[in-house]
Amino acid sequence: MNYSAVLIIPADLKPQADAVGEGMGWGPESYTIPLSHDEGETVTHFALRADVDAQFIRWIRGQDPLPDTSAEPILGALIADFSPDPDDDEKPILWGRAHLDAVLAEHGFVTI
Amino acid sequence: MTTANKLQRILDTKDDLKAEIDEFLDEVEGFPMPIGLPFKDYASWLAYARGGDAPRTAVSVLFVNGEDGAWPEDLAEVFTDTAGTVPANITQSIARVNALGRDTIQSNAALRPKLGAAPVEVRNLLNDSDNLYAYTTLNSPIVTANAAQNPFGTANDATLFEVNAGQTEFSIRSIGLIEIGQSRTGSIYFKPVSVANNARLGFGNAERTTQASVAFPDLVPNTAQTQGLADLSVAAQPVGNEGWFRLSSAQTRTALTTSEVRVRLSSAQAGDQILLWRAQHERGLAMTAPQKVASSLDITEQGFPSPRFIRFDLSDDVLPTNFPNGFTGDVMVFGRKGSWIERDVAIAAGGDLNIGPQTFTGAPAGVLNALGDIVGWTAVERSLDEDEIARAVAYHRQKGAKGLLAEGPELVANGDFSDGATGWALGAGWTISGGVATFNGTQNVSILEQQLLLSINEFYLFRFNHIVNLGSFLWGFNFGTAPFRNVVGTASASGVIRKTDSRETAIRIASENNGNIKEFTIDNVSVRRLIPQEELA
Repeated sequence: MNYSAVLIIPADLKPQADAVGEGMGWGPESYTIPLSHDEGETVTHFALRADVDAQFIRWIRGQDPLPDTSAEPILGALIADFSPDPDDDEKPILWGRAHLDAVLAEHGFVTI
Repeated sequence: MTTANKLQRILDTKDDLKAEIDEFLDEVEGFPMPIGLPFKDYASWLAYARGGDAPRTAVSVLFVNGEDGAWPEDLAEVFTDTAGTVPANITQSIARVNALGRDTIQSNAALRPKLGAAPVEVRNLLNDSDNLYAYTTLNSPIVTANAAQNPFGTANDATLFEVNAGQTEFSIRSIGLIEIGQSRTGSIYFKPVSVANNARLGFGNAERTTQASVAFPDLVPNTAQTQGLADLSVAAQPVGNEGWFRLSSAQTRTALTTSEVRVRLSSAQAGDQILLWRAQHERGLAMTAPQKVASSLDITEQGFPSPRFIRFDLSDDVLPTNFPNGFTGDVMVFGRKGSWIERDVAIAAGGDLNIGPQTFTGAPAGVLNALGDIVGWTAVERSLDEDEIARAVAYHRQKGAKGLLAEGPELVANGDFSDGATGWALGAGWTISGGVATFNGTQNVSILEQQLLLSINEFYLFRFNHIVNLGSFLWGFNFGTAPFRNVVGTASASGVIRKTDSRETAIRIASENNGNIKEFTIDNVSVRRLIPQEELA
């Protein structure tokens, strides 16, 4: 089963986060959506939306040890949301832009 | 035969031929011969004129002179790897699309759209028509997936529902939704295995008991008319193998709330069993042939092809096509909700034609939102004429695309500010003078607004000329209360947006200086509804 993932990292962690994504086989630049927090003018964060499997969610949520320990410094600053949420049946099931927009609204981000 | 007779026969034949040719020309009038058809292939021309398939040459001919460009014909060669060795299955992510011309490759697995397939006409609105065991139920029926043959003999395909101990009924939830004022028809196949006399199977709404049902054993229809409904009907007809029926119920929702539709077996006994198979929920008051919806990416109907499409997540999915020598020409993108042509798209040497996340190279911001799932594209390094465009659209209609989106009438009054501030409400810092609107940058956020009633869920193309922009000015255009910066950015002066909030009655241009003095002058504000060609006919 696939899950829609929205991941958000602070802008200054983008190089490390992209490197982790590349290590997972995604590609050199995965966080491509520039965001601003609290409707500011400057880019403060970057997001990605992708489909992931259940194992990925377990890694992100610390339910299984990370296969790549270089990702650990990023996890502390990472905002991650999954749909459907395997740990919360009550959350609405969203995909694509609808999922991204819901997460951005919840955390006070706007796209730039 | 005398010479005179021979001559007369030739003349007679000529008359016959002339009549045939005249008749032929009448039929194909308005349908120019598809360029590229084999010489004298008049039969294909006539078939096309009579509403048949537009031939492949309707598109391939665009490249007949060796033009640079791309056409991923029918999305037939789509792969999950960048090397193009593993064909993508329906619902899988796409790494590569081979094309006539230049291939498309997305090397980043996080940025790949998905492959889907569906008949040209999708009627079944459900996201899952067959896995009835996966639906939420009420009163806990005992559910056995893949318990028996379906009505047409496929083994292990129907779902068995059994009324649980201590219960006299059960419901399957969310077999569709009916919005206010909408007409919908629900249908489901059933075969009673063991059902008590006078038990009823039917369709109902969430807040009420079953409204339209048939009673066992003779399947006598009953419509319990209740407030908030119109056009209520129910029927069960034998179909497929012995013992199977298809139950349908139509209704128009007149209540002031949207309702969830449920299928309900009521007045039953614990242990009663019924097989159920393939549900359908469709617009209108008539039941049609069933469509299998495995997911919104995988829809099939017996006897009809399911052309492929690509679904972008409209967030970060993008498909790049590289042009090593650059590109200048027309790009058409064909979508299931509408198609778009962008003229004179210019791509520098080594640059990409990008489709996604929300637009394609050269097109207005957000346009993919209005096109829906993408069934194909053409990039041709020259200017296309109207006949060529019409043929390419006709070809892709057969693949599920809608026609080009046309611009409706102008909706903004005094958009050129020639009548001063008439029709506009000016926030602090805005002035209108000399046929332009100017924001002086002294406020943090200030809005220029015009009341305008637009239709919910429709797409609109907005534009304005950006005459002065001192600084990296953030501005937007929105139906909501906050600036719609995410569509417009700081350089573009056009974009496609959908009205989603029925409470909003205005269009807005919002400026923001964020603490820095910045000036901003605009002119020729325009908003036009985007209308599929089909609706203009």
